[in-house]
Amino acid sequence: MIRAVIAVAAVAIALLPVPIARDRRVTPAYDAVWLWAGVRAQPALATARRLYLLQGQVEATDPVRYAAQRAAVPHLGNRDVWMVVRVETLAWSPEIYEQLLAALGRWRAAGNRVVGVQIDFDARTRHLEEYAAFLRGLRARLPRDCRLGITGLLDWSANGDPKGLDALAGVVDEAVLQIYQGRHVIPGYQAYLAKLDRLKLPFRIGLLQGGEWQPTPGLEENPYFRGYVTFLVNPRDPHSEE
Amino acid sequence: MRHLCVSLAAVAACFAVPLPADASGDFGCSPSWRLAHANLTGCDDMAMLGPGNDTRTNLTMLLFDRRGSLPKPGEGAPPQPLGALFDWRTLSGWLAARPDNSDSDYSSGEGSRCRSNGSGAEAFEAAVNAARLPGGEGAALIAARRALSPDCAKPGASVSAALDGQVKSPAGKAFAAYLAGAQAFYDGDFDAAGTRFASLGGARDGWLHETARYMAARVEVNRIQVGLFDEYGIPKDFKTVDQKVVAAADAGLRAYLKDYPNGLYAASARGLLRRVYWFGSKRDLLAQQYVALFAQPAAVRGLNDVDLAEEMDTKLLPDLTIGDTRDPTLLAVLDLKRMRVADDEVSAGCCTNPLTLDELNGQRAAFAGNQPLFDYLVAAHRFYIGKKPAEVLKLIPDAARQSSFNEVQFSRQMLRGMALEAVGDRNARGFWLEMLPGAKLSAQHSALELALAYHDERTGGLARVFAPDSPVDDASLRGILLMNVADAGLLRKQATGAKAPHERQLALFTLLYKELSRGAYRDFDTDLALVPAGAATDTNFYDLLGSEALPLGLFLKPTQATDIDCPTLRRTAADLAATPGSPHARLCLADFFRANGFDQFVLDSQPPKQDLGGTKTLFAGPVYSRLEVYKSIAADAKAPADDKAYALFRAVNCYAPSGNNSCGGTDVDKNVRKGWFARLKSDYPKSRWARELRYYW
Repeated sequence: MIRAVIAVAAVAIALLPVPIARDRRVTPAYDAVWLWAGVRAQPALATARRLYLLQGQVEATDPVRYAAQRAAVPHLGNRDVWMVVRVETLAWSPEIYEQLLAALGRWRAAGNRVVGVQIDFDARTRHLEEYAAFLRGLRARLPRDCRLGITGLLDWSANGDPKGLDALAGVVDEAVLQIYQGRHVIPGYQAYLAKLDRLKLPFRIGLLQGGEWQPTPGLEENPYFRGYVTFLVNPRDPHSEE
Repeated sequence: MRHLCVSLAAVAACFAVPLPADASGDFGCSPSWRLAHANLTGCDDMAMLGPGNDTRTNLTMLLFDRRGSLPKPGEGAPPQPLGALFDWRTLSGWLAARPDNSDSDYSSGEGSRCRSNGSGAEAFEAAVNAARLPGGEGAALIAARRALSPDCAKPGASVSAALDGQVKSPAGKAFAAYLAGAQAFYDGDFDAAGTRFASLGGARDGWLHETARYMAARVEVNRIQVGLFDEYGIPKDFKTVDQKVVAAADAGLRAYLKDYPNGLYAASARGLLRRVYWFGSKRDLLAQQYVALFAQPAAVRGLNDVDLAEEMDTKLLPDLTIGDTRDPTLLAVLDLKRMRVADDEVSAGCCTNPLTLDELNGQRAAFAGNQPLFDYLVAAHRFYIGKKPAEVLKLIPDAARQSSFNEVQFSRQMLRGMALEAVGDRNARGFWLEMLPGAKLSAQHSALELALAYHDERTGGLARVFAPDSPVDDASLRGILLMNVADAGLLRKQATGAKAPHERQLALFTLLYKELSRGAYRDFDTDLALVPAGAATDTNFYDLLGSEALPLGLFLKPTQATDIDCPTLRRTAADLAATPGSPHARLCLADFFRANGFDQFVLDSQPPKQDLGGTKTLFAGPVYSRLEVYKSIAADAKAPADDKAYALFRAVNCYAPSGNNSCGGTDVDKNVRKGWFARLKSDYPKSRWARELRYYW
């Protein structure tokens, strides 16, 4: 069935003229945004309907540490919020899970509609099955009404081991795949996007605010494509070099 | 294949793992293997001070110098040495400042006044018990304190603790007043809390007196924070902060610290004082606080080196200017940050407001007693901004031979060596070798290995890197040179003679792939004998440097079959050795590469010119491209019909499904692909490939 859908999409690609954005710096509307630590408030925040807010970071120290990344608990009323946790290691002690759940509880207690927890981890392509196992354990601890999302690597679809990708598909609700490295768009990102048909889980494409973006033919027809998330950055100034 | 660091956090900093096993792991951050890093990447910190280092790295290194010691791996640090290039997380892990992780309700650094409720209740109980209050007063007070369970995430009052006249003695009433203050504090009623704590100025109980003083000041600190954060939890503009409240908090904390310099809450009060100066935009006072901490051991200041650097990096450095401080350490960190310049296309426009030489010279007096550091900063300015390496040589005399190097000494000599390289000095290599014995820190030694490897690569001296007595021991450096620059002879030598088993595998894998793809078919046949019996066939080769067992067996027994009828790979190579132009054998080879995942393979590209491994490869023959093979067979009048049909089919598929070419070579226009599609359909309508191909892309 999925193959059939992709084939239909392929027909569309082959036969229809595909508009290519001429302005290489255009990003789609800020429907969903990431707000990282150290990024100041800006107008794009006000219109975003879905906010991915960095809350904490699980650091690969010894012992592993859960470090807060946001100065105060947000109060976002009825907008959808994903509580993002940056993760450096999967070797979590029981305290880490407790701290994450306590933070989730506080965000919800403050009236935020926290729809999910997003894990931002550099899972290597050859370790996707281990990552999936970790996520399964985390999912079991989350409240039932809390979704689980992950950030993903652009090369998963190209280089990820298929069993690992299938395992991920069974455990997370969405993956957001980033097309940039640091502050820079990855050269040749379109070649990676081209192989997204191997990915069988709902995904969004993560864009860098102000970064290059050309929609890849067929992307928006992909049955698993759910939209974009824009990573907000501070306007350039002498103090934003960190 | 380009190594990516695509985690979100990469925007703040890429997290590299500098271990040989992971240094270019498929998705660690990718270091730029060279010495000069003029801009921050987050992956390219070194053991020498520089503009490309994270400010926290420069700061930490300078603090070690200030204490007169070399950085040492801490207790619980990973056993691997620190490499030539690393990121802040790796350095902080290596320093292994063990974090406190005992609180399961709050994360480290999480700001909430309710955090202290648990420890506060315990201390209150202990003090009440010690006070030996009459009757049941103590029990009533403790029960009331235990009933207090504030939730700072929710507005409004917590459950009230009912004492109902159970406490009548003056001492007991003082504790009751404190309890009422604590409840008001956690409920966010700072006026009431302030009044209650102030009323305890005459309390006889020592704990009560000290704690009320501290809490009274803490009330003022919390008052500053009322309305300070926006709906996203981001602090609003600190210009809106009420300076009167800042002054009250400042006075309260300083008065507490004056009376209780080693008090129960002294470390906390000093931390709060920094918070007050941060909220109050008092950068000079904040800088003074940190400078005072520089002199203290971590245990006294209640903050380890790593946490200190991280706190300063977020609270002080973003807004600190060279006019705010005369401290040489802080000035050096600020100066180096403002020496950052764009060193490639993508970072263009990165670095506004660069430091001028006049500004730097204006700081000379602040560096009295720190002349070597000051001279280094001037030399770094001449090197990175002035691009005048010859002046570096005048500013920094040769002191390569030392028994050990502190941070500034090492930075000076490294910069001198880089300047020698830049002006083409004949003794640059000798200079690096002279430095080696004094490089006692693993990161220093690795930096010199990088210097030597880089020098040898660019001076036709690759054999020296791989000589038995070579000081270049780092597996990543050696691997990069083997993969990208080495000729067949060196690869063959290392495939059998290298000390490290992984290097032997890497050399052989590179050799066999390049022989097959660059047309050395006869050599391939000979060298295939070097593949050990039982070699892996199905391990990954995306990460050649990091993968423990490379799938050398793939060349004997491919795991994925070709789509056309082909002999063994060995036989295909033998056919090509006899008839290099054989269309069928060429298609079989291309299908081996396709089916086994070699498209856009890392061995078909090189690092940027300015990085290690970026010079012209010594391996003979052109880079492989399936697309070019298909084009030439499609254009070959003498090629058999079946082969031409398959070549057209595969050429069209190079662009499936997105229209992007994954087969290398020179791209063709969509009309050309359309032409291939049409040719396949019209010239070979009965072929399996014409029937199978339904679209072009």
